[in-house]
Amino acid sequence: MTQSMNWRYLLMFLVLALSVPSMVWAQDGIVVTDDQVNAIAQKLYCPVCENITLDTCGTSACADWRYEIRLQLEQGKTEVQITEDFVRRFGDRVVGTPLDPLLRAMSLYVPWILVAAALIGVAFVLLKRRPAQTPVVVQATDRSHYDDLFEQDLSN
Amino acid sequence: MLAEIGLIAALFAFIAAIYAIIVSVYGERFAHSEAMVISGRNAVILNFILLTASALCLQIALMTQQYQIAYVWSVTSPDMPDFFRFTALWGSQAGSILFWSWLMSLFAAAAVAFNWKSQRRLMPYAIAYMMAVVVFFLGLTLFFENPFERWWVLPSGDFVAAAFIPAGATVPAARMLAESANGLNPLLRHFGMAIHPPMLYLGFVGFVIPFAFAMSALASGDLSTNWIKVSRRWALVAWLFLSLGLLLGGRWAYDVLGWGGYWGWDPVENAAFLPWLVGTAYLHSVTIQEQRGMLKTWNMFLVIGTFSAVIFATFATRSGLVDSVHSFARSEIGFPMFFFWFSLTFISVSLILWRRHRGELKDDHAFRSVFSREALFVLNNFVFMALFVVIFWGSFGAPIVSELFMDTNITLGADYFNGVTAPLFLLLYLLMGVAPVSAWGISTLSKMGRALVIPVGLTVLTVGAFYLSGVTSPGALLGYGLVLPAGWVAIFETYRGVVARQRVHKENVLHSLFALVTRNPRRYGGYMIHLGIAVIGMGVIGSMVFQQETQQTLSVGESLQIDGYTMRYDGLLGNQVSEDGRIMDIAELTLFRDGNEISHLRPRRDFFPEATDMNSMTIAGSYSTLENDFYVLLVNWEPISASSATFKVYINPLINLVWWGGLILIIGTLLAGYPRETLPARVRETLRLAVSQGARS
Repeated sequence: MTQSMNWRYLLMFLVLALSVPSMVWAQDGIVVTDDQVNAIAQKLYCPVCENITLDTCGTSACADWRYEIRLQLEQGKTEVQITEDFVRRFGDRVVGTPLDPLLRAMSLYVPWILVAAALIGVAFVLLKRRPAQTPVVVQATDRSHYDDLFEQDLSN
Repeated sequence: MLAEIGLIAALFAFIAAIYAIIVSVYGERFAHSEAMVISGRNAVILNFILLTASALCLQIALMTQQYQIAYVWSVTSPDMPDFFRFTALWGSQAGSILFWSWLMSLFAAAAVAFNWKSQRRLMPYAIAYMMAVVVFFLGLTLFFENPFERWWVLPSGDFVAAAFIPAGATVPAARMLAESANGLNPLLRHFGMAIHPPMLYLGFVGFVIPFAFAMSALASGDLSTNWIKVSRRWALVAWLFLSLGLLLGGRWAYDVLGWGGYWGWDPVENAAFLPWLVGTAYLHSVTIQEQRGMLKTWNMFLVIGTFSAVIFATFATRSGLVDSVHSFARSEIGFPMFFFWFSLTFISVSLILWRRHRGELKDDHAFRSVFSREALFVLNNFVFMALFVVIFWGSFGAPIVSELFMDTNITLGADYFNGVTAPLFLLLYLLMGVAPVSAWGISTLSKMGRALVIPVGLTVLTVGAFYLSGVTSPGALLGYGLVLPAGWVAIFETYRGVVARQRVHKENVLHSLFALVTRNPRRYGGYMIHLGIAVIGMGVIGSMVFQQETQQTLSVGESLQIDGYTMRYDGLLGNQVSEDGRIMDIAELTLFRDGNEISHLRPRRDFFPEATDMNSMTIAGSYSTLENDFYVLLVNWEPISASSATFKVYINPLINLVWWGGLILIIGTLLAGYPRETLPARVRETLRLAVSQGARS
């Protein structure tokens, strides 16, 4: 019994001994550069100032948030995870396009729906205004109508 | 004394504008009195003279440091250079509204002076509309944002700013006021600020003239092409200034704001861009009415929509709407501006619909071909309006809707704007390449195809050259492929004209080009504008798609490398005090390329100890070539010392094409708006002879 426990302790010790260096490597091995921080910070907006991205905001609050991004990158978090964390804490105003499905749909689709409606309206008006299908006799000339106008203009 | 004179002059200008409205409309409509209409015209001139006096009083007060005037106290300080004292006239809300009113009265007086005879029938109503707008802005000056208010000390010892002396109040000590003066906002202490706001204001207020003539056409019932003739040129003048204002604003942002770009899709920028989009659509659409008598209702909507967008932009940027969707209710001028914008738009649209209902805006022709120039212009208008919709929605629509109805704040940023506008801009470029070779009335695909063979061939060659020089991004190559035809068509059409003239008149190239352009400046100015826009497009694609950046902390003597450049940190000049009181930390850098020293750069961080709001700014150092800009910032939130500092470096490829393209666009606009004789010299001579012979017989 004692011998088997000793083996267990030895096994645990070996597992821990092998895992500790790898944990230390995970903590110390990720070197985060300013560029990596800025790559994420430039996609996030300052929750306090209006319309200023975190990478260019000079307030101390933004400096803290940039430091948070650095810490999270060092912990191995991805850009998506960091972005979601900021949105969870400060709301959808911190991203250039909302993550919330309803807000995102409203932001991205409404303008195109308006534009499509306008396009249909324009098409309707143009079709309505087309002249009746009377045969239009176009004088066939060697030169294009455009060239005719152009030469006529030049000859003045 | 200056405050009293300025205030009284503004008050009389206000009265003169109201008088002009009343006598012009009453004299024309009811009394049928020429004398009354002339009196209205004179009141417009008087309004301009009085507003000039008023603005001059404020300017003199700024230059002579009259700190008892609260506006002077808030935007200047004793250590400010004269140059910034001068620009402080438009450095804050109250002064800029007075300046705005003065510019508007200048435009009104110019319109009266230039168009009195030619537009006699429309003029009384045009005067009424122009002066109504002036009355509104002068009303803001007199009753909400008075730049002539002075500081007073109440018997209780409190300070108060008021236009008239409160009971028992005394004048504060001049020295104390001078010592506590705010000084100009640091962001405005830049050479660009001397030009950018006046240009933008000129662009904004300039659209009041086309608006006034459109409204006078609707009010008077004279819906012939008279209003179109007069409004097109004024719209072009306003468009020129607005374009210049936007370009200078971009350049100012690039130099001063310190984020390596020139357009950040900020709501304030977007608000200024919206009238430009509608105004540009109008300048294209109005040609259809001139040439074909079509789109009469649409042109009315566009010209009125442009001015409505101007007022909305002014409201949005001055009321606090941009910062918070609730703040305009709290703002002093927010509600009156919103009310004015809404009333102006509602009345204008109602007038259009009324005239249309009466059948007075019927088109003379119908569309006959989908490839005709008018059909392509309609498509062009549609794309401009689509851009308006998506930018308006992103800047104001979605944030307001989300806050009012979904109880949450959102900010739509560059992701949104780049995504939704890029396809529309590329479609616009495609149309710019195609529309100039189409014909009015009827045009066919095969005819257009033949005219496009050479420009498209040149585009393929250019894109191929880009590919061989290392540009392999499919998106960039597609973008260049869509932008370039607009420029090549403009160049090729001009070349064709020169060659045709040379063939007929046996002239040399330069003479032919000069004669061609001066004989039809509108057409060739338009081509030049297209060329400028194409060059800007190249610069935008280059600087957006291929921008590189890095941020690194360097010790003295250390270097960083990016895109073939090597930048060495040589040292720091800390706590340098300039003549305007700012304290500067200046980094000294040496730039190398391929091992050769090419420049010394001095990015700096400025600190303004006396400023109340924003008190620091970063000024970039840059090395500029046609190929790219090496743009470096001293990162102001990281520790800066004589031993180490943090730098942010951007490589902005082709960014200078944005400024060069802008210059081409401005020259093209000047050319397109250049007045010319409407009849060729030969015809004028024939007419002159005919008239003289008729007189003799």
